[in-house]
Amino acid sequence: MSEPLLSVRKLTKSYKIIKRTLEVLRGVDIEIVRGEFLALRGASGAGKSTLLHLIGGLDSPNSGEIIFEGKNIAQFSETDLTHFRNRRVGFIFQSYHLLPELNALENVCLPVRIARLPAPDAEKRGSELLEQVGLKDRMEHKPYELSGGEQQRVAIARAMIAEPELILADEPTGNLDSHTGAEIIELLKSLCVKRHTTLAIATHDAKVATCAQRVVELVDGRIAGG
Amino acid sequence: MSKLPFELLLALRYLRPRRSFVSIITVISIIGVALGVAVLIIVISVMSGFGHDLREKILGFNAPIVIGQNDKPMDNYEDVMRLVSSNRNVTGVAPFLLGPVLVETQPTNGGNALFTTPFIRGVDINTEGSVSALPRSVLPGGSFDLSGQSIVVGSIFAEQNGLDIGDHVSIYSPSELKKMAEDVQHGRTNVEAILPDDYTVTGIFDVGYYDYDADFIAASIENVQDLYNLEDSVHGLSVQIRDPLQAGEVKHQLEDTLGPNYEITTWEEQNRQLLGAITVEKCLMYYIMFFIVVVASFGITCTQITFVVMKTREIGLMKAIGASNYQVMLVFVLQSVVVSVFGVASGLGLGLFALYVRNDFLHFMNRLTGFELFPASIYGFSELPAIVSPTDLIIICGGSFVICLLAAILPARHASKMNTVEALRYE
Repeated sequence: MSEPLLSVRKLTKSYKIIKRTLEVLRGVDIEIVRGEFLALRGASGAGKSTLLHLIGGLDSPNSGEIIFEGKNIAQFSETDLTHFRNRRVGFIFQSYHLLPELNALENVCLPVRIARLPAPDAEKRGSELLEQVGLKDRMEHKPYELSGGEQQRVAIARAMIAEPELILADEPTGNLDSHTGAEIIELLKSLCVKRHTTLAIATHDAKVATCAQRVVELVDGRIAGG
Repeated sequence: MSKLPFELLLALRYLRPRRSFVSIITVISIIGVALGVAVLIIVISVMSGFGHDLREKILGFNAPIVIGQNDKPMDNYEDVMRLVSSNRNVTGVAPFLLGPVLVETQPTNGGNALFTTPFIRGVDINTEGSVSALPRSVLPGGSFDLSGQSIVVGSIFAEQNGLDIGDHVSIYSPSELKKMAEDVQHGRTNVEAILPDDYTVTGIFDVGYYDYDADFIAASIENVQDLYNLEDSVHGLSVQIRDPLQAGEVKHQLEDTLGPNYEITTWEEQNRQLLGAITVEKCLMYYIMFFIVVVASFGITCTQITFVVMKTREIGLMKAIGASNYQVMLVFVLQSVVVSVFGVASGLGLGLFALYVRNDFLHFMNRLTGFELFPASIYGFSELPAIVSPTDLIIICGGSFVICLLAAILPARHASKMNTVEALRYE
């Protein structure tokens, strides 16, 4: 078996809501192997999104380790985390989160422009990706001029442009009809295979999970059977 | 695709919403800053102009340095003039007499005579031009002719007393009035009545300063010596120097030359209260008017706070894809920089335009309201003065820009410190 890209050990996360503590993750252990397509399945509130946020460095755990290529990102400084989010992982969200002021190409190029890649290089990469996701003719379109499926394709291209090792997709088909959702998953899967990118999808949709190489079930903040 | 850094690109796009060229919130913020800057430029420039013109008027009528002899008239004034002229900073010296007189008009149309008590200034027609602008301030139609029994009068004085070129007035000297009063007090009835001297108005001067034009008349030095029974003495010497701002230094040099028997005063000492008040007033105006810009900058703060809340999810996204806190902050600071630059530039343009048309506007308002908004009797000037000083413009524009920038820091900092996950989930 290939070496793990990411190892999560005894990860816990809780939120304080007024006087009550809500334990979302209660000691999660999981390994993601380089190049695999993993589906995190679970009911709403099971902790799928929280786990993805922690893995992606968007939030910090209460305890536990997230070892990415030998380094514990839970102990990264703010600067290291920013760099990690920009270069090593790509995020895809349920509600796309495209910036309405920017057109499709500008949205796709945003991560590399943040990383100060010169505009012509960014444009070349962005155009190629938009072509690969089937939006060659929609580059100048603003998000409100695109359908939900098209917006998610732009979001996929944006997640891929910095050539990260890991793509984290949080319910990427949640806002789409089943046909478009299937197309998006197929596109995501093929792009990741083509670019040797590891893909972790959080979903409660059994159909989406069946496309994955491996399915991990989260129940009440723990890996089922773990 | 734009080559601008993403922070500036986003800042500019945020100022241009989806359906219009520019956001109404942006326009309101720019107008707020522009009005503050414009008002500041107008007020400070008018105050500077007022101060400058006042100094010009004072120095046009009065010499920068006046020399008198302690407690008595100066009888050896020609010797003193020679000594003073030897100073290399001195460009002109002229003797003068100055004191109040009683003037009675002699109306030719059968109306009642008017009595006023102006100051009479006895001047040497040959040397007065080297120390003051009085000879050059005589209006067309008249002349600076003080030969015989001639006088020149201020334009407002002439207007108030119905005087014109060629009219006659009677002048009562204070010493003669005092003598008559003493005779009456002592019951002397067997004394000759002293008649006033008759003078002809040969010129009307307008130095542009209300107090001088309303309260001064000028006659030859010999006539005023007669009025004051001074024979060949004068009250003092007017001294013109190369740079009036160096009056204090020249005063010390002249004190060393003339010794302790002479009292030397500069124009700044004579007008200390007025000049001091103008300086203090300008400083106060700076403080007060800058508060207008501060209030305008609160508009930027409120706009930016609203905007940051509206953009919470986008801020979350930016951070999720790797934007640093500094980069997020920069987006919103740059947005305010653009608003501030446009606001300050518009204010600068508006302020300079308003100053350019200030007198036309003033006359228009005077005509419209039938009320004099800038009465010369109060301010001493018939036109609204203004001086646009580059230093003032730099202070106003630079200061306003910094204030606006500071106003934007708080919301921008708030944006940069947002929790990424909470921001992404914000509804």
